[in-house]
Amino acid sequence: MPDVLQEFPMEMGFALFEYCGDGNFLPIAQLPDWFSEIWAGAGNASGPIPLSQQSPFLENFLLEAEEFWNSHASAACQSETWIEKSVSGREIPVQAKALFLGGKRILVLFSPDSQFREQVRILQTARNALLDHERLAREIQKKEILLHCIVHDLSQPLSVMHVAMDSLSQESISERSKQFLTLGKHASDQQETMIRQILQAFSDDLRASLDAGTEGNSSSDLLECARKSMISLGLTFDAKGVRVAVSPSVDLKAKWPVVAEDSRLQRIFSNLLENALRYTPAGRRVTIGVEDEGDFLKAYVDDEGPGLPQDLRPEQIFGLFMKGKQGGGKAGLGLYFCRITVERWGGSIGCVTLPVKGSRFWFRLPRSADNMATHAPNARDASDLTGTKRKPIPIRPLRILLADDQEDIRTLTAYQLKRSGHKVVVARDGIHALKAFHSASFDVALLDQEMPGMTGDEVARAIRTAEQGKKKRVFLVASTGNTTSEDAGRLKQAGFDEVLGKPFRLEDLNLILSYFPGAEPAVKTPAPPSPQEGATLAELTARVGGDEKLLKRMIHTFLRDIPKRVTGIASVIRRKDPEALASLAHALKGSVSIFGAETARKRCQELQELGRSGELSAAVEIFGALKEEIAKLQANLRGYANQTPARLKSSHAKRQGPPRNRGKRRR
Amino acid sequence: MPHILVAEDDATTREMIRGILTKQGYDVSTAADGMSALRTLKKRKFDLVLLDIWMPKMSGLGLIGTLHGEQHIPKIIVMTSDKTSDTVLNSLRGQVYQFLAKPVDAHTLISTVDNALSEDPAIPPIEVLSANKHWVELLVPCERSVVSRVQSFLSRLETDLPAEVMEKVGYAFRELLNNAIEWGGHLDPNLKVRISYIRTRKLLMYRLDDPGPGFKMEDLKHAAVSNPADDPMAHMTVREQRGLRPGGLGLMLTQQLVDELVYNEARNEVVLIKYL
Repeated sequence: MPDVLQEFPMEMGFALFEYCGDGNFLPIAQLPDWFSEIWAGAGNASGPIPLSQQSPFLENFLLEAEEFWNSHASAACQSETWIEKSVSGREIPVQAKALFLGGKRILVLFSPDSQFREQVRILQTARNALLDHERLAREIQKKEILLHCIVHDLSQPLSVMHVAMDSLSQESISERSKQFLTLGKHASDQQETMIRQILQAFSDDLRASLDAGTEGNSSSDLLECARKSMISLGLTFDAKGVRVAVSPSVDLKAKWPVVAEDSRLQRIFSNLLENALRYTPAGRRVTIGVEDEGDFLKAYVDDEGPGLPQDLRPEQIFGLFMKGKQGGGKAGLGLYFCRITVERWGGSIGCVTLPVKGSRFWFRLPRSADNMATHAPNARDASDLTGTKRKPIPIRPLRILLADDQEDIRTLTAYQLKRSGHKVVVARDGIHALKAFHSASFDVALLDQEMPGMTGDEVARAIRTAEQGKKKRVFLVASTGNTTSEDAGRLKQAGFDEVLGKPFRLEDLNLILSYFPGAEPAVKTPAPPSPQEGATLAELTARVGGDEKLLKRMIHTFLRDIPKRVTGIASVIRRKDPEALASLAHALKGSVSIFGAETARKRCQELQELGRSGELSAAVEIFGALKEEIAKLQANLRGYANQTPARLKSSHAKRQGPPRNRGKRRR
Repeated sequence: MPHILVAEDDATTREMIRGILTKQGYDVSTAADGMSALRTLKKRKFDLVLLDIWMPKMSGLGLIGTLHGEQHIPKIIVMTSDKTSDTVLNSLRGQVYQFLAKPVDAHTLISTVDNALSEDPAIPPIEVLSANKHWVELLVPCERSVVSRVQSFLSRLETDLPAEVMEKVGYAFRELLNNAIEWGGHLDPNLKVRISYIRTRKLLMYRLDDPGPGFKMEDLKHAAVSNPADDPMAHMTVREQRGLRPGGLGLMLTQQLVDELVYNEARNEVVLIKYL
């Protein structure tokens, strides 16, 4: 062999041997450095080397190689990479190959050292990148929670400050106090501006990342995201011996478009899957599924764990910093993230214990349609109120339902609204708000978004559902810290008419109330005497909590008894029985005041007082006036009682004339 | 299911209240006069009575008087449009639970009844020490629900005053009573706050004596009332540091609403005065 060829294998890192039998190998070219580094003692002789004694890996391979040589096959026999330790302790990867060339049995040893190291580096980088990605995703999740906390917690006290200071400035206070107040207002304005700027920065940030990924169309495929999360968590599941799969009942070919954004939606699935894995014993399975619910699409993750803890309600499970007592939940942020994100997209989330075993975590998101983004109202809509498009109208007294879980805001806002002449019913959470809505009639409902038990959205939806088929529609105002255009669109879709950013100013609220559809100028002077005596049908229905049947029964009872009661009063006046007069007049006063017959009530009151005083001389005259009023009321109530339900509603609409001066009577 | 008796001589009102409460799931009986109400009460145990004052045969107040000394006296809510202070004072003496203004509406009715029935039976009643037109004195348990009840009584003693004055005094009194119950009595229903209401020709005065040890102005850094003149927002910072809910404006508001607000040295007694 020429000298060049003698040195070439060595330069290329190959060690070439011819097999001599009995485990001995004869080098047929110069041996590379790495070979002498491992087998220093074996390489210096020019004679055959007993390689099979040098390394157990090699010994193993040589058994295979010998078989290969004996079979005289034409292909090669190659080993995996194994690691040898050099004399100095360095780890050197080695591969071996057996060839049959020109009738000779050739062994090639090769160290893929540099390539091997490169490979390991790439694998490690990839692994690190994966970990970084995971860490960053969690950071972003934390940031979103922080954002949420800024919106909700930090701006809540501001509302209280504004309303409190507004309240104060309407009181008669000294000049010095006024100066303090101006100072305070200025400081809180500054703070509000700063919070708004932070929020703007955050939401711009989020929006930019959204737009870049999806060209402004925030729609994701529910199933696609579920599968991506499933794949990325595959190894984790394998490690614990839990199987994860899509439910066989799901149509894999169908599209499942929802209002969402890919990376956050995958995050939600990852959180739910990790949660399921945490509670599922080895050998069991976790199942993902999606379902079509019409306007909404639902996704669920079922586990075969112990079911939900009995001491926690589902809404607590999704709370901030909640974690299971047993089982290694982390900071309790994961499920909270799921909830705030799903709710931001206009969906809902929940969990149940499954009948046989395990639990189901589910969420539903609105099905996305292509034209949705273009129809979503802009956040500026709310600020448009200050524009000149619509004419402000002086506020008339309204019946207002105010729901807010924060006591300060509730008390102060109610105080202010009452001062403005409105009638206010307060509710401390969503469930009470809905209850109040069903038990009386309101013009306006002002609903806080973040309430325990039932959010403002949910209340709004429930109210709109209950109103279906009815002519009367309550004017819904959302008060919320989330005032991006995304949120405004979502709130309007939930059925709100107006969105009021938090912290809100009384001027803003008054402005919104002044646009209340059908608002009419407040009548400052006492209302002209109504040709019809008594409250409107709508007012009466409200007084009995919306129960039209009950109202009809009451009217019927009244009309049935009234002749007897009037003749009764006539006869006690004739008999000059003051005590009986006071008693009968009092009872009648109760009835007529229920029906809002103010003049008749006054006459009854006068008769009652006459009866108590024992001086009946004026009774006949007052009784005459009372009879006239009663006649009017009777006619009116007969009209109500004879109305069919359909006519009843249209007449209610017509009779929303100038409001009577109701406040006076109530004081 | 709680049993409620509605004693009311006006058939329409009776019908309405029965209708509304029955729909809420309550078991409702009715009586058209004081005597039949008394008979019904003797026959059966009731949890709550909605009582009209002016009824034939026996008045509501007469009925309350008759019940006095009975073993089981149900909670009584008086429904009245009657503004005479005698009715209020007699009701107070008769351990009436609360007042309900007539004509009632469904919402107020339901919430008043719900509240009365859901109250913890272990909470001691309001003790009436004096029920005189010019001097009312009460011992009330330190429990949140008594605030609105006490106010439902006392506000009816001031009905001859202009609405604005009533509103301001009402707010101030409520704030002080809340403070006494929360800070002085630590919401412990076994502790009592003594409330005196004194009405003369020229002034209206409330005195509240809470069971706590009082407080120092220095300890009130979390309230706006103690802010230094050059830093009207100082208490906000303090509240934040102590992790208190935002607020602390009550005392300051109260100061603005009435003519005088005077504390004793220990600051566990306060007098509120409005000149008429």
